Amino acid sequence: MRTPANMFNQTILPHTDSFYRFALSIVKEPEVAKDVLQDCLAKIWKKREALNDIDNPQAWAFRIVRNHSLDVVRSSKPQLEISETRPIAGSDGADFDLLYNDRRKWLDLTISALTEKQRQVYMLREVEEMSYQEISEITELSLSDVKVNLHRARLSIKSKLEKIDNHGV
Amino acid sequence: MASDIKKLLEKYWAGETTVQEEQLLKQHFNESHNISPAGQYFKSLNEFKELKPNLSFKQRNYSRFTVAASIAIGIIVAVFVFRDAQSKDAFLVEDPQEALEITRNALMMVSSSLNEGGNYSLQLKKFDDTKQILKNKEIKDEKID
Repeated sequence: MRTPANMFNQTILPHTDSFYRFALSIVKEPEVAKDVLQDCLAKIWKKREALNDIDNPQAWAFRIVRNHSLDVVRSSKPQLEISETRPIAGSDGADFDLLYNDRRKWLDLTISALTEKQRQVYMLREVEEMSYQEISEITELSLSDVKVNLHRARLSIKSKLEKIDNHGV
Repeated sequence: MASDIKKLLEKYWAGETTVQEEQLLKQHFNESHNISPAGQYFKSLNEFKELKPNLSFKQRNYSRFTVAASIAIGIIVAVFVFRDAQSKDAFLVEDPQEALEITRNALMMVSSSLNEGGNYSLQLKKFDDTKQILKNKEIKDEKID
């Protein structure tokens, strides 16, 4: 059996970038996401004795990151609903310019416009390349809810891409 | 190949692809010069994966300000205490009534201590008297012998 410190180093630390991206998709502010990551790593380190008994330490850690990120959003922005969606860019023309000039920013805004559940599922699948089962464990959604939310997120993105396509490419 | 990608893309939007098929799509668009919106989208997904926190396990921002504020407060308090100590004589009493009271209390304290000493000297006198009686008795006994 590996020591708790070894377990932490081997199963948690290699995923810090993924935890950060996931936290960022929820809290939206890079500095806040860094704080969330730091808090979560400290929290997981304190509970490292339990790592040997956990089936999927990575999913467990993602769940801690998710819950802490949601707590931070709730406590810092009570005026915003978690499921609130934000419109992206101003018009199809602006979308077009953004996609071709700053793809990353376009994707940031597009992801921000998804609902909270869709955004979490989308990030874990498209960026972290997780299975539906893992996503279900992390988000505490049923398998079918995971599939539905991912499908809706993709449809939303597809419709934006089609508008851009019709605009001129 | 192009038709395979097109089919895979349809499957992707329908939410029916596996993780491996999705990786294949990302790899394809990352390597190709496809400038369609879908191509740009998959490229941006690949870029998204490069997003890193650049952690140097930073001290929180506020800790620097906390340290600076603590030092500033420390200096201000030290300056005030020093100036206060310099400007005042700790034993200076300006009100005559208060000075009289303090002197009286001090004398009372000395006086009560002296009284306590008097009690001890009384005890010592009794001890000396007893000692003298015993000594006289001893001399008398020697004379009889």
